[in-house]
Amino acid sequence: MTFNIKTCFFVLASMLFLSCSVEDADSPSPQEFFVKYYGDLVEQEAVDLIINSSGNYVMFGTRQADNPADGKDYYFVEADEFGNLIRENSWNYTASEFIGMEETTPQYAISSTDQVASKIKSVEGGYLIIGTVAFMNVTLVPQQERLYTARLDESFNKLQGAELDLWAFDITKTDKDSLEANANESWNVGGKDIIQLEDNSVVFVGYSDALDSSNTNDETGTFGREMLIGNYTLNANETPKKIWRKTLGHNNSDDEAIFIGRTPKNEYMVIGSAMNRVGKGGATGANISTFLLNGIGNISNNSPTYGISGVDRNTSKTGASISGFDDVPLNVYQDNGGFTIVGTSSLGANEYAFMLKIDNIANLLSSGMIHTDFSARTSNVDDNLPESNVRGYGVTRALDGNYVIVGQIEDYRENIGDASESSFSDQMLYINVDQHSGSIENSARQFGIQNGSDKAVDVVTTADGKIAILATADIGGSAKMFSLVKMNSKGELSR
Amino acid sequence: MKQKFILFFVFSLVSYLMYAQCTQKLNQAEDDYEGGRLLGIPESLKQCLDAGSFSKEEAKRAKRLLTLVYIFTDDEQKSERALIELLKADPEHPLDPQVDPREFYFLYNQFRVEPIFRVGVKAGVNFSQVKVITSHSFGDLNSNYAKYYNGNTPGVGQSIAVNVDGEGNRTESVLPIIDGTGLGFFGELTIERYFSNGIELAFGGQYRTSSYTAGVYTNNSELETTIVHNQSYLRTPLIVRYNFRYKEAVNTVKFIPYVQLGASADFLLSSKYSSATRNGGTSYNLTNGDTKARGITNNFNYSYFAGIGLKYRVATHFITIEARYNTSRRNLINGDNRLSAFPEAFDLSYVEDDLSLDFVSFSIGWTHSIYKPQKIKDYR
Repeated sequence: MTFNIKTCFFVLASMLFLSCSVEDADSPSPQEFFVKYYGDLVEQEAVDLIINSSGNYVMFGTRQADNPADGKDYYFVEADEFGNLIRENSWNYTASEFIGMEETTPQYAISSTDQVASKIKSVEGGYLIIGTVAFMNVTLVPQQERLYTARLDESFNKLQGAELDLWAFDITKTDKDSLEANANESWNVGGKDIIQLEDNSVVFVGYSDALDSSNTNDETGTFGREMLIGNYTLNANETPKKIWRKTLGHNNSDDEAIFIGRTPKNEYMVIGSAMNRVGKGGATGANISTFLLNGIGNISNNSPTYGISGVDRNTSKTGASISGFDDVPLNVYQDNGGFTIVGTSSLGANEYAFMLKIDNIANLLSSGMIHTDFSARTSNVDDNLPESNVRGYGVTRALDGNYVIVGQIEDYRENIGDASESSFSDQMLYINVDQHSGSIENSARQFGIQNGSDKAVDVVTTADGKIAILATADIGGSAKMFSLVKMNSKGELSR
Repeated sequence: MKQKFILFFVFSLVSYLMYAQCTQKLNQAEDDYEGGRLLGIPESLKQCLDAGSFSKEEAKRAKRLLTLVYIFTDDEQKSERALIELLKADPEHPLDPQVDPREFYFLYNQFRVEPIFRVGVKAGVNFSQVKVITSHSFGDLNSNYAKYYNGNTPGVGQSIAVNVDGEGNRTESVLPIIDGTGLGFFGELTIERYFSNGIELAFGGQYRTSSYTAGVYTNNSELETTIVHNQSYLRTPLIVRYNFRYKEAVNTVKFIPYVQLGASADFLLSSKYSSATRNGGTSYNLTNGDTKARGITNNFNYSYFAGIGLKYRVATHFITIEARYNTSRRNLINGDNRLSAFPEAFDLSYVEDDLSLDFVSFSIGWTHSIYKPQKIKDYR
């Protein structure tokens, strides 16, 4: 065979240009970390994030209806492991489904409803949701809130008949099926959390406004807002039936339940807030209230109330010594060891995220205020800037055993004393917290749209050990979008 | 003034007379060569050559004649020196088999007559083509909201907005193209060496600026991001070129078409967003978009290219026009930093794809031949 240099040239040419495609196997794949936006340029408010049985992200919240006069709709988004949209849906519990108000009190003629989202749970064949529906009159002034819960199919459509709304007159009916004294149709009832039992009935918690001491359904409290817990059937093509329902609370206290879970002994753990209670380690003001209930909603064990000990850096006062330090729980993470509660402690204008851990019988394991080194944004750039306000909205446990808290950091400047550093409006917050409820040094991260009021509202640990955060991203111009952020366990948008 | 004029006139007259005299001597010497009277020729030409009194063509004739005279007087050293002088005056001096004797061929073939190298200078424009390795987006990677690069959506169709009403009815509308040119410029300096059989090698440096425009809709037609990326590279092209009819060209052909292949190590000098804007909601403009300083781009790449071109011979030099297709082989984007070093991604609703850049370029150039005639060493 003769070696021909021309042949060699053209063979080489062919090899070069017909061979290899450009690849970069070392580059992170699109599902390792990402930021996604969902929705349109209207006001959308993200609330709850779960991973369903297919391993997809499911996001729950609300969105402004196309016609603002129609109020806010529930809004659902399902996305795959890459954050790609699988489906979205939105709908309204319409005023036409509302029964009774105009008949009893004409001034309550309803113009529209605002849906308030609380929780979504993945169950066989679909989802359970719970929230609140605010009915508004023709001037869009809320007239009444109702607890709303429904069973949805996999496409987030309501199953026929599998929905329930509870309003004040439902709750204030006595055992004799008459209204309790002073019952008022403008009292509010709201839904916060829901679980499904083995018999497919549901147990939900929420709140109900002022109840009378004569109401025999009121387990403990008198007057003021009470925690509401109920066990109902909720099946397609059936009218929901009450199995049992209770109200809980403290005397002369506004109480709200935000969480219901089941302990290893099959008791119900109800966690919420109690206003004007003196908590252990806390102070007067709002505190974290817990109730252990048996299978029919009766209090079965201790029901302690806790406050958060901590230091208000801006005033150098400790939480335990300050009257009126409000500790409001917002989310709960449950594992075998108990319950981890996240929320916000506030004193006047100063706010701090907190984490509090209790075991399965509500004994305190640890609690602490979460501080960051972020400085408040101000025109003053001296070295004595106050610590920026931080709010806790969601919590999960990372694979390393520590916890991840997400929330919101109020307007802040990057570095104290440097006027040239960027300043930000409210941003999404990520922070690592150890098992003793202490924030881990240098773990706080902020991210989001510089001039928008963003907040991270919920967080889950993914199957690959990463952290997925649901947030509301404020695009501006009244447009807020759902944002799903997947990051590593250090809160970084990288591997 | 008058004296200067007289001096200039006298000088011109003397020069003309010497020129005329040397032309006459050259003609006489050629007659003597034809008549076999060789011995007096070198002496008769020497004075004119030393004085530079020949025209360029006459000097070439004289040096050729001296070479022949020394060949046929068996003065090998002088014949070689004379040939070198001839090749200096007339690089790649063409031989004519009808006129030149075999002895001249024999001597000629012992010498390097081709240029020792050439210097090529090129300048031109390039148009970028983005090749997406892996898509990343604030929106849906499976949706119809495709990312535009220079007004195109590589590998997918035009971006389409999809609306589904409450009844599940689906309507689609084609979204406006987010346009961009991807225009850049480059200058190149190469050292080139011809080997044989039409093959030559070139190596040098290139400074290239490039750009591409990325545009994307996130979830809906109202949330639109447009970013113009600019890069500058220092490149080191190594080129293998095949010239058609190269040997013929020396004597007869003015135009030499060629094809070439090359590879280059590419070093990123700068990379930035010259503009970055998000419309929808409250509009956002990024003012500091230095992606190299942030580590969002990879600083090293390598590329292959192929080209076709045409040389036009001007004496022993060339004017060239050329078209190339250049393909980068590595990801321009440092995926680890695409978001972690880019907090403004939230504001822009934009994240970089894994991508490489290809280019179509057009250039015009000048190739200058450098000669150093020398006897080829015989190691036998």
